[in-house]
Amino acid sequence: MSAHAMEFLAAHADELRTRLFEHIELVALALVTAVAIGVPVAVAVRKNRPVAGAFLGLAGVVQTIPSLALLSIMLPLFGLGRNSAVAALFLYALLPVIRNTLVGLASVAPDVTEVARGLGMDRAQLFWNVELPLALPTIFAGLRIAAVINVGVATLGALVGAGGLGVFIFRGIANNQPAVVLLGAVPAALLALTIDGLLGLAERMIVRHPWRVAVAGTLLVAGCLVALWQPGPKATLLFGFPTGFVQRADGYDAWRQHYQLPPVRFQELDVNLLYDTLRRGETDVAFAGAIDGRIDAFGLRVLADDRNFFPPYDGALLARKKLFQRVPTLRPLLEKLNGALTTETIRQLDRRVAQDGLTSAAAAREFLRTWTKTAGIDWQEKRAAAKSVEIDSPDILIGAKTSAVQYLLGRILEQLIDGATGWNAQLKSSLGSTAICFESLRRGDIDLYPEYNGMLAVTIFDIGSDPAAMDRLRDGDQLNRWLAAELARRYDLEWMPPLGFSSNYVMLVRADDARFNGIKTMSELAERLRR
Amino acid sequence: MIQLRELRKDFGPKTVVHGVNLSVAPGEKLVLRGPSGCGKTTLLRMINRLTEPTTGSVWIDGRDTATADPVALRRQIGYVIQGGGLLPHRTVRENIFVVPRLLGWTRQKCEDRLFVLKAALWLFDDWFDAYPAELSGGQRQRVAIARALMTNPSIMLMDEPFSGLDTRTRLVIRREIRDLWSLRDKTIVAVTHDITEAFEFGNRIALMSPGRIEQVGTAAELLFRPATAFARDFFDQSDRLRHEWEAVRLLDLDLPDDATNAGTPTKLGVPASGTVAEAVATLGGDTERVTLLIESFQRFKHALGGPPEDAESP
Repeated sequence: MSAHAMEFLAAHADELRTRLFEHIELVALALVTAVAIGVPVAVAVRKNRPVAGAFLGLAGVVQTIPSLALLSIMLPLFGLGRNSAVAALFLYALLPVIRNTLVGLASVAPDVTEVARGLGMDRAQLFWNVELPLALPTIFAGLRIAAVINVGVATLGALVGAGGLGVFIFRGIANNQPAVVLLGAVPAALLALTIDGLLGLAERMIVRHPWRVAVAGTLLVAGCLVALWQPGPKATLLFGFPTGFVQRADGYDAWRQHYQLPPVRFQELDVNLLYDTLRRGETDVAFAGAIDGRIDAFGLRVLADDRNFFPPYDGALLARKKLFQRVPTLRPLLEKLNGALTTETIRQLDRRVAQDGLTSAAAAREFLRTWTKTAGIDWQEKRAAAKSVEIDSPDILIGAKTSAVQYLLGRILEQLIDGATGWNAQLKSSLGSTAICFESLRRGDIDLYPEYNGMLAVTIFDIGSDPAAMDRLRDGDQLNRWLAAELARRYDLEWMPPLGFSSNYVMLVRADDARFNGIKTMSELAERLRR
Repeated sequence: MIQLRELRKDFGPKTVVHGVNLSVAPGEKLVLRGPSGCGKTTLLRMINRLTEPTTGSVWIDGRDTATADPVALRRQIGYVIQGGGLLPHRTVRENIFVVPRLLGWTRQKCEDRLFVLKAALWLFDDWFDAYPAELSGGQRQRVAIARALMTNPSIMLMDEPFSGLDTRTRLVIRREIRDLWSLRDKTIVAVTHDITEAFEFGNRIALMSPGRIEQVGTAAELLFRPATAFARDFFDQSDRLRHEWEAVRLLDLDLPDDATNAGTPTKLGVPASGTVAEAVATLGGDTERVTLLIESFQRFKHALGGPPEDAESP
């Protein structure tokens, strides 16, 4: 292993330990619950075919719910953090456990049970001495499947604040840092293999040595958890960070140093969950994009970045130069958007979606109806509105990351191009992180997408590794000029004039949270926390 | 004493056993014999209430079993099935101690009883810590019998106890078991589809047609005095001779080498005793039939250069 890799591992050893602990804890809790509930349920219903079939069907339906969707269903029920993830993992584990228990009990050789009855075992004795022991290997095989599924799905727990190794994976993806992704993915894979191997061993030993297996398994899991446990920072406030914030040049560590803060207790969350969890009081402070309509809608308040820590996050379109060669009329049209979408405009539009229940496309049309008139663009709403389903071979593909604002911007572009040109545009949304969008654009899978200058500078050009460069580029205009030149030179991409809004990180608290009375800036908060 | 009174079993619309009456004396070995699907296993299982009769009753030692707790009843009756039905996840010792443990015997009491059975059943010490899968079929069968005998029940029910074993093992084991000192005083009801086995094992044979008992009697009675057309046709013509010969042999008779020359007897059974006249008398005086049998036997002997198959070597 190279010195660099060793250094990287050493720097993350403490967190790796914590994440591994969380991961094992999630999986263990889910499996124990699944066995504690699934096995008795299967035993109770096994003689009743219709009911057993209904349970299997139900568990099978749960299994088909995509994991992310299941997690978000659990979130309002169990709240942010461990419980939601455990609930989702439990439901995933339930099917293999119930199914294998039923199969295991049904496949006990009838001559063995018959002769055991014939010798005078009553039903309970038959169950405990014959049926259950003989079904155990099959039950364990189910447990093994459940465990391997759970180790994988548990990585998604990071998105709902449950921690685990997925934290590294999503942080790495968000920041375009493959090493950080591997820091989560490799231990997760090793964990899955280890659990699979150990349960395989247990499966073979369980029939003849059930107690030994039970004791060894309990000791092993408990031992792992005890060995990995370490105390977290003692702090009362819980911060919600967007995925990736921790490992960024303009993220947690740098921010903490900039404002001279002690370590804080935090959870990394999917950017879309930050507002809701803050509103519900599951976090106390959140870092999120300034532009989001939910800041107003949810009664949240911004604490000012009075020491200018966060670099500008001015929105602009990033497009392939080849697009404008192919569709020359597009450039003048898109350039007209320069300055048209102010932070205020976007927030209002986003609010129309978040609060008033409009679809993004409808909100986009609402904006275009008035704006195209003032901008003097011939925009036909009917043509834009006509398209309700995805078309097969669009002329222009617009990308958008997984966030409400990006989605809205993508719809505005799509409806604008459809209504004002003879070309067919198609939005490909939910491309995930900056790295994925950028890579798709570079390879020509999409033609353009909305991006933020600060985000490009940090994640694609990694200027955060050079603090001097970072300081120099804190000026938005300077950063835009630099980006336009670099993107054209290195990637043959065009960084268009700013759209007018800025989505830099802001620190949010609930407006009615009395603990923050009299605190208006980050410096004031830092002072309070230092005391 | 086991008595079956008007015992009937329906599975849905199908009647598997039609009102059977049968009584088995203490110490008797009764074999249920009949074509497959004739209800013999169902009949057997109604004795220890693994199957509940639709109507009719089973009386054991003057008591209606329907009034007994089925679990307690089964613990007093030995039960052995084809292949042994040993618990695959328990050692041989644990298997043998299953019932005593349920009854709360101490370890020492179990071991003491096993010590007695060990000698009687030719069980070997190095089997006890092995798992059933590590034993041969015949060994497993002996273990299953030991398990059924642990609590010394006066009644044993055996369902095809020897099938699934190879012919040689079967021959050896059923002789061993028939001669077992431990089984000598037991009342045994066994199901088998093997005629030779039925002849060797049972004092009496209950021949069943589907759902009914056609005739109950000794092997010779079944062969030479069939009570019904079913009983007469049951023994397939090609095998009849061999069965008849076996039946006669079991009577432990001396048969003459030459039917016409009664002066040079050939020993066919042990102990050697009796004469042709006695044989004829035993078989109900049907001289013609016995003479025919003896002549046939002679033809066999000459053709094969010895007695037909299944003869014991000295």
